[in-house]
Amino acid sequence: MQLHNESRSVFAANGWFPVELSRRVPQGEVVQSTLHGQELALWRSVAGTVQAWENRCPHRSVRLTLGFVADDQLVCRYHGWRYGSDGRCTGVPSTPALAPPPAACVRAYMCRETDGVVWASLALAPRGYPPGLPGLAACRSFTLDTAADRFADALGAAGFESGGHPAVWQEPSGDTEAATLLLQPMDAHTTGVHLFVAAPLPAARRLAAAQRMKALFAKELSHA
Amino acid sequence: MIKLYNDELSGNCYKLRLFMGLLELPYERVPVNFHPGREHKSEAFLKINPLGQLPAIDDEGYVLRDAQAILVYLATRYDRTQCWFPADAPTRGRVALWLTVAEDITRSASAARLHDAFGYPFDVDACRSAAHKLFAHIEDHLADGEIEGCEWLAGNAPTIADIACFPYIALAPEGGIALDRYPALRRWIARMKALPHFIGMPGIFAAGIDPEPF
Amino acid sequence: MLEDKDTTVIDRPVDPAIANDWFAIGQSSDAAPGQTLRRRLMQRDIEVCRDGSGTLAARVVDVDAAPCAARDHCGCIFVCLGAAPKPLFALPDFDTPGRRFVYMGAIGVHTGGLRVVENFLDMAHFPFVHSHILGTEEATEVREYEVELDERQELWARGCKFVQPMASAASEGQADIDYVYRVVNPFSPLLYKAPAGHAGHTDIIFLFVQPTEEDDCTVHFAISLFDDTHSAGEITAFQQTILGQDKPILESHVYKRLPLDARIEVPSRADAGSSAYRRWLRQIGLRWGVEPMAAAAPAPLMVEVADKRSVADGVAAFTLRSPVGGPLPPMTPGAHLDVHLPGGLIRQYSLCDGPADDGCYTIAVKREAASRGGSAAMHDVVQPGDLLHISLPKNNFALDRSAKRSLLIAGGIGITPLLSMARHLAARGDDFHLHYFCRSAAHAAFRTELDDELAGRWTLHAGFSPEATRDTVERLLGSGDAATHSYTCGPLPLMQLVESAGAAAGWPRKRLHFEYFKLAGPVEAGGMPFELTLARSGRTVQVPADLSIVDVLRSIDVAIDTNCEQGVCGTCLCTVIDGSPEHRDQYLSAGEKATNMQMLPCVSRSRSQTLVLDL
Repeated sequence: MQLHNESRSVFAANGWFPVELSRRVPQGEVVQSTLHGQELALWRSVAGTVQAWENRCPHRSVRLTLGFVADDQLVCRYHGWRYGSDGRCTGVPSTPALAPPPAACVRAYMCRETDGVVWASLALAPRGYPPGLPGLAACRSFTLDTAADRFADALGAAGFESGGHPAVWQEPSGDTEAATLLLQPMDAHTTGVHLFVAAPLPAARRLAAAQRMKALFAKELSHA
Repeated sequence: MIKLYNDELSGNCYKLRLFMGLLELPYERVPVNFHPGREHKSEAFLKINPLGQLPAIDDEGYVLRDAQAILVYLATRYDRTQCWFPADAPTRGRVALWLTVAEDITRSASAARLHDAFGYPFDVDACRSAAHKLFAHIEDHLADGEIEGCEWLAGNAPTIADIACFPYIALAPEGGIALDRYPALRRWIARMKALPHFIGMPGIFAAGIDPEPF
Repeated sequence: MLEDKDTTVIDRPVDPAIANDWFAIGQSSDAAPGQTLRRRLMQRDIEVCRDGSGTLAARVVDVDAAPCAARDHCGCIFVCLGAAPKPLFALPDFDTPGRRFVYMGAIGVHTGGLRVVENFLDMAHFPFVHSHILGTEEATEVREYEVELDERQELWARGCKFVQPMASAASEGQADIDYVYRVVNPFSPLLYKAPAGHAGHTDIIFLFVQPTEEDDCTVHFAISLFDDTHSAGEITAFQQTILGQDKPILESHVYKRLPLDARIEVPSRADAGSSAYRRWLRQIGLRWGVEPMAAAAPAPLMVEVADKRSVADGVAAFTLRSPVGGPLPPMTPGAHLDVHLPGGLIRQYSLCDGPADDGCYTIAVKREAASRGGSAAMHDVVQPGDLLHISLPKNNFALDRSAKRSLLIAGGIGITPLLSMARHLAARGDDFHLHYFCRSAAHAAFRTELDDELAGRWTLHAGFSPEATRDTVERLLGSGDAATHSYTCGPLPLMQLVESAGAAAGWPRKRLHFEYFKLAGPVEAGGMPFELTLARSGRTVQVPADLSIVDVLRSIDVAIDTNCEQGVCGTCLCTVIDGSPEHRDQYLSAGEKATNMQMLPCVSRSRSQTLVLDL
């Protein structure tokens, strides 16, 4: 697992970062994401709470994103081991008469959902709480080949303003098509960028906002 | 009964197994061992397809090769809903475009898999690099499409374009091409797996436990 | 991500643990006379050629062109890089008349070779990865089988059985199949497979791994069988389907090299074969292809004491918050923390929080006169504003989701986990009642909270005599129905009272929950009770028929490292000083069991009336 410059960077691993949009983690599916080089398996329990787990079954280290959700359990594809929403193994099909090994527990990371965004932290006790983003609608997401702090610097240089949290950057113009960007430090060289605009813009204008951002990224990153 | 000249590990043959499965169209598999038997280059098979490539079908005497061509034939002849290869010109044009992209995917991602899994002597770095360029383009197309409510390659409903592009994208990791940086592609793969009567192939799991053997 | 081939690696010798083993690099017919094959083996490029008379020769391609040995055997070409090649494995069955040999390909797999071997030895994945073929969801159990390392240093697993809907290309329907696995060297397994009762028609499947890099390999896949009806193509199609289904699993291990630390990958009882395989790799000292990482010690969690207050006579409650103003890891009712106290002591305290208490943990500590220092430190030394090092919440006393009604019985300071349970049950709208036994009303902790939050749902039984307590407990347990579970935490006499009253009233063990242990489900139900002595402290304790040694040790607060708790991983291995263990594990070899010098207390018991362990 690579953590880049964590002690000085505002993208240090003890913070909260966006890892996915709520609507992309529907009930019944497992979705893959990456934060600071750590692969995550995201899924939603029946109660509706999103889980952000280490993407690794504690049995033979197979990625849980190959598995599937059944009832309120995440089932590993390899041997069908079942995990409840607290990460503990609740069933081992090969040995149905025995209690599952107590040490078989998936590492669950801190996870909170606000305003349509799933935030996660790799820290046991993360700093503060993730910010709210009322009145915004998700537009689309991008994967960029650059480190999050370098990209944030480029956004600053392009006139974006910090939205009060290291991951949140806003176009200052204030009109409805003004972009809010959420940065997801995927690993040392890759950043996920989630574009939001004012809700509710029609599809054609959201598409236009996405095209505008694409052009901006191409320009900014060519000298980032 | 349609005869499908088939190898279980071939993504191109799987395009037809998948499509006929989705259509619930019965057919008979004729095994042609690709590796290590090289039966696709045998005299017997060259009579079916002189180019010595899988797949091929024989539909009561009508013989056709090439996965994309066979998809067009099957959709035209057997799809009662006419959704898989719609007749309206704009959609049909887009479907035709993405059928050619499927060829590009075969030339890049499938070639990388042939190199890594079956020892074919290709320039695997060039194959992978070409695949990534292609996938970045498809990712962009799908992500923009999602803004407009279009969740499939040629529009807002699945077509044979999706069938044609699916297998070698889903199998790309076998050729050393990771899909980690393509979340829209992964969502599209999940949509494919959610289609009614979806079946997998060795290397592509169905959404839950396989509902029946494929 | 594939690594660039490291051409300087040739200077490093081949891992001595496997240097003299033979590795398959292709089928014999790959090398026609006059032809040179180039292959990669353990990060070295090698060339193999066959001369006019059919003899094979091989060399490592580098400046010195070091020769290495090459042989034809069982239809394949094997190469040995070491100076003292071991004898090639014996397989007299191969030449039995009527057998066909079908080579099914050289398939590249993006994972370490040891992973491929382990997958080959595993049956538990059949219903999930090869559903409707080698296994079915209706029959997932792996029945016990025997594993041993024989005198030729080959690993065997015998007596393996599995229900298979379609065991082979020739299969005529679902059948119970017998398997025998044989691993002739760490990268070369084969299996013997026949429908039950048809040992005369055994298929032999070979999966010889040619490890190219530490995290990449080529698999040589072949079968020797009696099938006359099916073509080589049909047989190959069937077996390639199986390998193709395994491929995405094999290529998705987070660690492509095999970790040998059982804490990183926890086995179950069904993993007797792979556990023995990993133990063998540790014994021979294999490093190449092995994940060197050891299990990480759990990261410390620092919390700030936000509040300290008296909640009863001699009882202080502490509220712990994150020092960086965010939430703390989630807790579940019944959970406890390890608190690392000033002075180096570690003590467990149950959490009493309800579901709304995001971001804080509340514990309660009773001042014990006879304390070994823990409660004194908490009461006298720890102050608001201090930082404490704690563990993550752990729960051995969880609410059973199937319970329709919960009977909560607390004694003294045992109120803490039950208060948490009551709060969670109340928030869910579940049916429960809390009975709190204590010396006097002044000793009852959290009275204000109990009255405010749980009015009408709790009863105080203060100042009861032992007889009155017994009568009350018997009355409470007499009225339970099949959907009621009881949860008890308090002094040992109270817990023993609930146990005996519950047994007398016919409560099954699984509906009576006690804070000190979790009923694991013994590998074989029951056994003889015996007396256990812990040599280091001199303590003696009774081990009843239906509890394991580990269960009993936990109940008397003796720390013992466990992992699988099913007798396969070896983590709890301890030394026997006196007495005769009754071995029920699948970790020790037959020879080791016979010496009786070690045993695994998670599943094994005692043949003798007393057992002395070095604990």
